[in-house]
Amino acid sequence: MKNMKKRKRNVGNLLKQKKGQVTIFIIVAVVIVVLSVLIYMFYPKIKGNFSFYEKNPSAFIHDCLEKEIKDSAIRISEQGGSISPEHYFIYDDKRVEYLCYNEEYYLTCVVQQPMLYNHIESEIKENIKEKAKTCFEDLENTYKGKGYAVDLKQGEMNVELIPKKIAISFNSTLTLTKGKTETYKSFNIFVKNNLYELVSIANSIVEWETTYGDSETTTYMNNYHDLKVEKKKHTDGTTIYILTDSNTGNKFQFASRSLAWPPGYGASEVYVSQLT
Amino acid sequence: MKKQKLKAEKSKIKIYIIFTMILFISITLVKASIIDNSADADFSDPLEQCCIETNSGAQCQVVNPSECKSGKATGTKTCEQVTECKIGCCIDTSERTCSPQSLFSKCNLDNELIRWDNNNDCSEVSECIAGCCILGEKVEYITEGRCRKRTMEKGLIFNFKEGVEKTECLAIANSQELGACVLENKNCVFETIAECAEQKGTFNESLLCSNENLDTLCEKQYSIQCVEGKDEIYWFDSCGNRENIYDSDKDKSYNKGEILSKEDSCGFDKNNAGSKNCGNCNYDKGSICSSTEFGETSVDEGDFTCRNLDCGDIDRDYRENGESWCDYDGSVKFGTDVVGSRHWVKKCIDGKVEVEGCKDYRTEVCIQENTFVSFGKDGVVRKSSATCTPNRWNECMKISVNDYSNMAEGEAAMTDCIENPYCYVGYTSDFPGINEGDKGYPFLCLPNYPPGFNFNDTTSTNKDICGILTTTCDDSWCRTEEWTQQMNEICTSFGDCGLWPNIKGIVPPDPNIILNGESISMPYRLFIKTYANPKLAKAIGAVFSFGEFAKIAIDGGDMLMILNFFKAKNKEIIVFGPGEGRQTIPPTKAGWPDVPITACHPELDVESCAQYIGSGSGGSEVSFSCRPWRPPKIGGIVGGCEKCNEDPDKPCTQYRCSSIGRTCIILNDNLENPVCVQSVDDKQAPDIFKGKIENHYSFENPIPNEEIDIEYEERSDRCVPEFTTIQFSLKTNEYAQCKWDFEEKDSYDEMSEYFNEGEDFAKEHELNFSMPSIWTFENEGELLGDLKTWFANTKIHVRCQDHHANGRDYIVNLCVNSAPDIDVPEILNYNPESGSYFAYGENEKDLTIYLNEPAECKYSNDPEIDYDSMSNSMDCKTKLNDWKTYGKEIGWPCSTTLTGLIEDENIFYIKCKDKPWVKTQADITKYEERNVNTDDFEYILYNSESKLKIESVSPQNEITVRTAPVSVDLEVITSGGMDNGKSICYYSKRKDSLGFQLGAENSNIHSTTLSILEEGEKIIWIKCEDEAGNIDSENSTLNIKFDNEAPIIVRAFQEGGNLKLITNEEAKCYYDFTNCDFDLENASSMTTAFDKTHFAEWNLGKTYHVKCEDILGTSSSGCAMIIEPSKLELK
Repeated sequence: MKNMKKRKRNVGNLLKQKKGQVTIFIIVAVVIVVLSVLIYMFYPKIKGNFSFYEKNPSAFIHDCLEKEIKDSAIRISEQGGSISPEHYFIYDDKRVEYLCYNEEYYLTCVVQQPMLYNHIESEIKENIKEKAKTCFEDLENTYKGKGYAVDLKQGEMNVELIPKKIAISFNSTLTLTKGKTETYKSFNIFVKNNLYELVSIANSIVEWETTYGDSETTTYMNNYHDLKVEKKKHTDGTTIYILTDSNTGNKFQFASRSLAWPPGYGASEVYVSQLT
Repeated sequence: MKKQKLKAEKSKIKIYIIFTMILFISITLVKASIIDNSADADFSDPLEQCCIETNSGAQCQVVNPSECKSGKATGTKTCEQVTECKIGCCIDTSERTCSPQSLFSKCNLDNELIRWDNNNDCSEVSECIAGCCILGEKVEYITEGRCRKRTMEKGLIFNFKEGVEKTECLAIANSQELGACVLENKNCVFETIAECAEQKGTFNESLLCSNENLDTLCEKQYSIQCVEGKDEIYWFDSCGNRENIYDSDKDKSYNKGEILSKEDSCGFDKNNAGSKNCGNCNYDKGSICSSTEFGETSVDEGDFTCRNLDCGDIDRDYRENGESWCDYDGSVKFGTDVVGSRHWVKKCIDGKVEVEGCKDYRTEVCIQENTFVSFGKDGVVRKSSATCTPNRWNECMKISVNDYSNMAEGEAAMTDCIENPYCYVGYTSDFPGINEGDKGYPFLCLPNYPPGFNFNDTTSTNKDICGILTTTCDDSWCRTEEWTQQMNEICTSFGDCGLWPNIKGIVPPDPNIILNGESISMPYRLFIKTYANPKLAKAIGAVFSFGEFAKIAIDGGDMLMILNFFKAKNKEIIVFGPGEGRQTIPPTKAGWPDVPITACHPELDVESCAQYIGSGSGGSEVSFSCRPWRPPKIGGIVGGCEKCNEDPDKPCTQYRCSSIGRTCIILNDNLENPVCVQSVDDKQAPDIFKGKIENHYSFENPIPNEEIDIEYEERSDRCVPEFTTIQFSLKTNEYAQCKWDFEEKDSYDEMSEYFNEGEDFAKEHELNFSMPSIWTFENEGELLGDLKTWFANTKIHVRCQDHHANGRDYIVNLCVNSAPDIDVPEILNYNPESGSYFAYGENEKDLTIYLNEPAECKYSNDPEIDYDSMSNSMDCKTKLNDWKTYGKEIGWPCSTTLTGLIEDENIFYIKCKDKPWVKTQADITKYEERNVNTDDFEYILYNSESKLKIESVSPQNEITVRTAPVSVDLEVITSGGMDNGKSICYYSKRKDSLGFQLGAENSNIHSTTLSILEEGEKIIWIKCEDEAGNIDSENSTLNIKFDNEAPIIVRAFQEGGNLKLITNEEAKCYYDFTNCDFDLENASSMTTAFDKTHFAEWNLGKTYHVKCEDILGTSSSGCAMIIEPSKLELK
């Protein structure tokens, strides 16, 4: 009986010890996981093992530039297609560029940015070129650090809006020598963004604005079920258009002032003089 | 007793004088307040010019040069002639993209790959014509060149369909043939044949990758998903390939491993929203595939659902996805829009109601169309569609402004008014008070939706617009409140004028000025509040639906025209007469009531009418002045201004905020939801001090914030002369409203007269002050004693108050000359002007002159004749109240008809003599001799050299175009008349309707662009008139034909060694020996110019692929014909 009790006690102690160990192990495991996650989130350079990039320098450039491209796209989208709008309307604390404008009343607007795709492409290009240069320098240094002989010939950068993506291509040549020689000609990176589609709609709306002074937005939403088009008309005659892709959340907004009417009878003195 | 009686009499006299003077002076002030100077009447700033780039970065705008960037001003008034501002088509030849309506300066022509075309909308630039580019399963609506580029990038076969509209292109995307593309290692991708070819797989049309016969790795019906660009829920196989539309009956959906079309899938043509069994969602029916959210029912196999996109019951109407409807802040139409209101379009989009505001100030209004859909169990099912359109109130005013020389013209104009959805017919000229005298309008055409005013704009003409309805009437009915109400309702139709509620139902004090009439009572004020409640207003709005039936007063003359008119429109008429009382005449009644019918209000019963029958002044004239609406004092109403912020769907704006209260201000108006708040009250009344005064007058003895004197420097007694307008101003240190009165009053509201700016808040307050002579008053009655004293010490009591009604009193002292009148009369204005022309062939002309004082006038054809010897007398109005307005001024009119006009120059010599009441020696003793002009006033009229003639109208005859609408440049050239054809022209689709102005005034070339929507014959009536009254009219017949058909080859045969083709219309034909996919520019031409016959060398061994294009540029998408000469087999 005593032995049994003692055994039970021993077993109980043993169990307690084991439970305690398990507990400790669990705690340690949780800590490790948390630490790993924290490190992963806050030390992005550690994200990818360089061995992944070693055979894929385009991926390095992609990851290096991706945030910059996305931020540029967002900023441009919110501001009517420009990084630093010159002629704008302040809406919701943002400078929204006029894509179509007429100062006068009763007249339809004049397109202010006719080659909108080209303009946005060059805005993105201008905004990321410094970062792109840095990324290539980093790439070069990283390879050198890994013992490669690096010959990098930086070429032209080209930005193009294509369906569902922003395509950046670098006409650069990277030659790596470490034992054998490998050459990478041109670097192409793609960032998901449907600026292309939204700008296409914007161009269409601007065409309406310049011809009729207004646009019928329901048609676009009927044809493109994921598209939402909002129109905000302001007292001074400015209309803010907000195009949203409800799937991705991507947004493009711009301003237009076309066929504005003054309040009341405005410049209609002719009626006064004729009636009195 | 006698003393008391005398005192009472003197008081009465004083009151009479004061009222008469107030009437006289107030009219002077009101009329003088209309457009201060002629420069304002010309609203285009003469300094403005085209600026290539403004300081704010805008391109090609007409602005003041100070707003232009350095070096960017052009010196030209318009941008049309400036090269940099030319508008055309900017073409990127490398990308094959085109930007229509582009500025030349922004086209980046430094880039050699970019070129310019003058065609504005790129429609005539061949490389800009978009079509449907098929890229595998996807499509893009782009140019052919861009399509080639895209195709090459994707490694696909070029497939471009031209002549296809965008919506058709999207439909093509959904009809692409898909199938299982089996790749090596038993992999499979579900795609198009083109994509499969690129991957070098084996394409199995209409089969799913999971089809057992294909022996792939893909297992069927592994999961369900939504698909981008598709409405439905789909099955997916284990390889991630799309299968068929989800159906809980798996076998049916699987369809033995073959594609099952939407039409054959479950629940086709139904909404299927919330269905557990069927994933055949349909956007057009109001559902779309979506991940299930809380509260939604998913389908059995996964967390997806056909989400209902309809909005359900909204205000007792079921609203479907895509439907839109109008929403209003209160009552609408027939001039009942409340102040501050805006029109809204509500849309049901993806299950949510989105609200879009039309432009503020009612510059846009909401128009709704209801389309019949079906008979539902609860009645007729309609789908509505609404949009904001510009408020064309100006078309109504244009109809009202025009003179109608005959009944037919007036009737045609009334039809125009009724048929115009932005207008309604108001009152006829015989309505008491609406008598425009010489003009004699048969009716008033009023805006259905009155435009909103900017209450803070003190320089606008809005107050002048309200002031148009300033009228007098001596009919007994005009002394009733009903008349005042009716006048007010016309007043409110002009714009934000008169007594009317705001969007919160607050009715501010009546701004209108009513003299000798009945003011508006409380019951009426309470009644009109209901117009701010849209639901209530709908129920009772019919009572004031003047458009539906005419409440007209008839008095001979126009009666027949008006009765016939409404009979033709099948409208009933309410007429009123003493014998039969009120009666309603249905349009079908034959004959007309043969009792004499006189002017009376239709709402009155017979007995009341009898009191008013027969005119006769029976007292002083009633006067009504329509004034601008003014925001109420929001005062102590808690959260008064904040009421504007209550509805986040209807954001507050400057207009809405300021309509709620005069102390309400808008903050953050560039945010999505601005806020309306009460401005801070500093409890300080405005300081009042002297402003400007014209030459020969001066301000003297100023006591700040108390009083000041006005003195005339040219007289020893410093008294201001009679019959002379003095312009002076007072200033305040903050924006304030000011009023004045001859009597001291307890409050601002009690004071009767306004300064020139009316109710506007301003810092400078101008007044135009003029007094008649004391003797003019004497002539109206036996008045002496008090009046002289009063003239010697006139006090103008002024009170100014700020936004928060903090007010201060101020007095302007002056004396008016009461010495005998020794000045000769002066002619202030001629109508028509001296030196003007009369119409060719006329030999007489009406003339009216306006004098600065009551006088009699004569004229002669010879100069320097004594007044008494002149033989031609003019008809002159000589009573104190007989003054009339002309333009901005007033004067006493004298009229005559000048006869015996000859060609060339006609000179008349006029002289006048004042004090027409001086007839006897006793009068002369009392008033002194009458003053007569010794020098002549010369008046000249010239004859027009010839008739005005419409030389040409173009275009005429047939115009063939591709599609509607077609723009037609209408041009009219005139000659002759007063000045080489310079005139104003109008065009209309009806013979007797004046229509719309054609091009500029005062020119002999008149042009405009018409937009015509329909095919067929159109007759356009043209009427031109010059300033002398020469008129000509003409019409143009246009036959519009639409031709969007490509030319058809009707015959093909050999002739003389050539292949000869004949087309059904003039065209150019081209051929290629390879296929139908060729560019016309690079192909061999069969025609030199547009023709119906076409030739090519006869070549037996070749196959001719022929395409033809007509004059409008229409060609078929493929070949018009494929010809093998060896067989002459036509394909």
